[in-house]
Amino acid sequence: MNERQRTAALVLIALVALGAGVVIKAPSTRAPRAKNPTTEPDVVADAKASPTRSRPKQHAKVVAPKLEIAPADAELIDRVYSAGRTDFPDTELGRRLTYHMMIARRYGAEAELRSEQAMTALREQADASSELLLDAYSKADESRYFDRWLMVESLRELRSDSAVDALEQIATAPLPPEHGNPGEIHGTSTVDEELMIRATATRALGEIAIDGNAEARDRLLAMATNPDEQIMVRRAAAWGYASAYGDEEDGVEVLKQALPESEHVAVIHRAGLPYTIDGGVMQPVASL
Amino acid sequence: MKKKSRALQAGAAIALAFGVTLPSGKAAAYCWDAKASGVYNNYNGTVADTGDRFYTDPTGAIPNVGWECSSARRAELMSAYGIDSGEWGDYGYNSGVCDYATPLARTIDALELLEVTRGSSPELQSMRDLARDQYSGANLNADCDNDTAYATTFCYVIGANQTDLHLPFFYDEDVTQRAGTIVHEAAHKEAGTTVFSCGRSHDGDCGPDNECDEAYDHGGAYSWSADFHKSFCQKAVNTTTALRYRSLSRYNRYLNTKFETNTAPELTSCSASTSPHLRDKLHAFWPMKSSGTQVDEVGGRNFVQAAAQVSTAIDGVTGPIGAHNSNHMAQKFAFQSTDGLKTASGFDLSGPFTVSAWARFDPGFWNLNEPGVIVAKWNEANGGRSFQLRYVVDYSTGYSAMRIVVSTNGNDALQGDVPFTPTQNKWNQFVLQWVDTGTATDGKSAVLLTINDGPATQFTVLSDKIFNSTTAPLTVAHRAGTAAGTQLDPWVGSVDSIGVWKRSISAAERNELYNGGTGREFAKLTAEAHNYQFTSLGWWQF
Repeated sequence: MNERQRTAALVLIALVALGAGVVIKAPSTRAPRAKNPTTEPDVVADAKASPTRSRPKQHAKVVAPKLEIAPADAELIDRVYSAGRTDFPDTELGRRLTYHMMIARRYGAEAELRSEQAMTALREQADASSELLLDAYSKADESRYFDRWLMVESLRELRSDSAVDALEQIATAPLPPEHGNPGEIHGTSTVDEELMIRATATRALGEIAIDGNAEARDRLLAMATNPDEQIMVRRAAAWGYASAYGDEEDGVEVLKQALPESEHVAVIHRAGLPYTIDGGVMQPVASL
Repeated sequence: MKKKSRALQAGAAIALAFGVTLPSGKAAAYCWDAKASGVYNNYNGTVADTGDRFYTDPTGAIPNVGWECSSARRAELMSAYGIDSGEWGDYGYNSGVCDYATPLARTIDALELLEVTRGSSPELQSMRDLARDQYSGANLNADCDNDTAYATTFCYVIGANQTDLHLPFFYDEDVTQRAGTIVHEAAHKEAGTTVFSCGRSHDGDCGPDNECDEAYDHGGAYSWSADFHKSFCQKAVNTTTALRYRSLSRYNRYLNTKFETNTAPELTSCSASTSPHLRDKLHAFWPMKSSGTQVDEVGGRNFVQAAAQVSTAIDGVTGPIGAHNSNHMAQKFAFQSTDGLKTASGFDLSGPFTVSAWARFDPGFWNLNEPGVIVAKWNEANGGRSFQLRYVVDYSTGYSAMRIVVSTNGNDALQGDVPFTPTQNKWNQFVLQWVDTGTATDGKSAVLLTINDGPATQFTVLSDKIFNSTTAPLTVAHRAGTAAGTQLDPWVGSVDSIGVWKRSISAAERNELYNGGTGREFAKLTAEAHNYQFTSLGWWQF
């Protein structure tokens, strides 16, 4: 759906809602969620003062603070670069991304602490980090499912406005053919992997929308109401849209107006098949 | 040809991130050689690091968690999970302990994840225990000949059941998925219903090989792996946000593909929400935690014995229903006319409203063949009738159903049946709802009955209102007779967790109450996600 179609869809939805007596509140009534308040106090203040657009664009040339990397990991990063086995350029930010991609997939006593430190450092250059991640994603071989998923998950955690277009493209990209054997007992499925990536990209858009990005929110509505879109994507989009709407109930109401009733549970409530069966008109008791 | 084609596709020169260089000079039988030769190759000769190296603190200042290439720890885990060194010699046991390219190291890594990330989560603990229990004694094997399935569990008439882990398990699954697969296979490995079958076999109708479970609440192997990923997402410790959200993605995908029918909502966050919507207009809730008087946690509308006979608390352990743990406290009712419970006074309840209750048809051939009232607000005397939820059965014809009976004027009685064949000893959630439809004066309302996580069956009632007798009590396991203190239609079975809301709850909330067949304690009537248009009245957990 292009911009023109999206606009038309929104107008139509609004008209339908008004016709049904539904009052659609301005979607910007809620102050966007504070993002990284410990590092961006000025941003929080701006967000409260101007809820329609949460924060100023970040500059890509911000000097990154020093990130403590354990010597063993620093050595490993050197080896990765020496072997040419990284997706990121040999720059300070590229190495930080390499470190992040290494550490985010680990577990152990200090895994989350180190992973969060790495992500905090990346958030200082969120736009530039997102750009490198998206570039790496675009070049990654299709079969690197976990790596590709982790790149998108990293974009979700970064919540950079600059990634809106690319995330929408990832979320709505046509599915490649199945390379696995999903029909077999305990069989593999590459489509499963692709859908997990797309749903994560949609949730990433939702996080950005919750931060106050109206463009992301509008695109989520278009995705949620597109019957041709994957159901996991539609569900994630519906969640993101409603959560970002200001008053979530208002967002849900818009979704209800935009979706046929038969899809309310499946899309808005993200559940499977709990539909209603018509049992007919109750009849006088024959016997108790 | 298919495999060759795939290998050629993947053979393009790409930069490979964070891989482990494959060992060289191995015999062709090794899994990693199969990958290196391109026979099976997602990563062009380099094994992906999909969560296969623990974070360790190089300074030693922080205690390490994990096996960390320790031979001793590897031996511990091999023993605990039934990995025989002889069987695994060609799969990594004879290689370096830290050789993450080997199937053994990648298996050990998944087992250690089960060990170190469970924290205080009872769910993750129970899954780890299941895997340990099932695989103690050399029953977890490797077989790389199969490159299309993750794992296979073989069940034998004579001898212990065994599980083979296949090539995709080692090299396509990330570490959380591998752990989930082990839990899944452990669930299979439990003895089946016959000596010829594995436990928790897939019983859904999804494609040629029935690669799914019929329903999430059936406690099949996929419900175990789905529950693992949900619990890992929400409760795992010693892991990263990324890996927990990887499990969120996997859980959601399972909901979409691994169950023939499912109503559990997809997750949007790994944070446990405290959304209070299921407390909204909650009018009464009876946890059913003791014998005798049952306390209403909301409004003090306690259940008392309808007559002198005391109903029996069963199992002796309090808690929710527990799909994976049958221990809980509930109220058991024998087939006696003085056995039921009732509120001490009239129970005021006009529409819209919701009444939910868990009920179990207890073992015993005749227990399935005796009709009876599970919950009702119905005094048989004219002017005292409101609604009944009852089980009906005709032994001669084999017909059985859950029947709703309502009265719109206190005298008449309208009915609707939802065909239902109970299973002995299985807990079922019944949700009865009175819904305002259309306008307040259009002469129509609706009654919904939802059984477990099935669809709601909606009956139209040609009236705007249900009759609200202010003197009729809410009763359990019977309905009130005309004469004071008398009981009619006693029901045989056990009842737990009764709730009443002064609103019609949503489908999503029904799912949350059902909670994959495990129910919800009163303290956890908060659940995930939905902050929508709802409101409730009372809740009793037996």
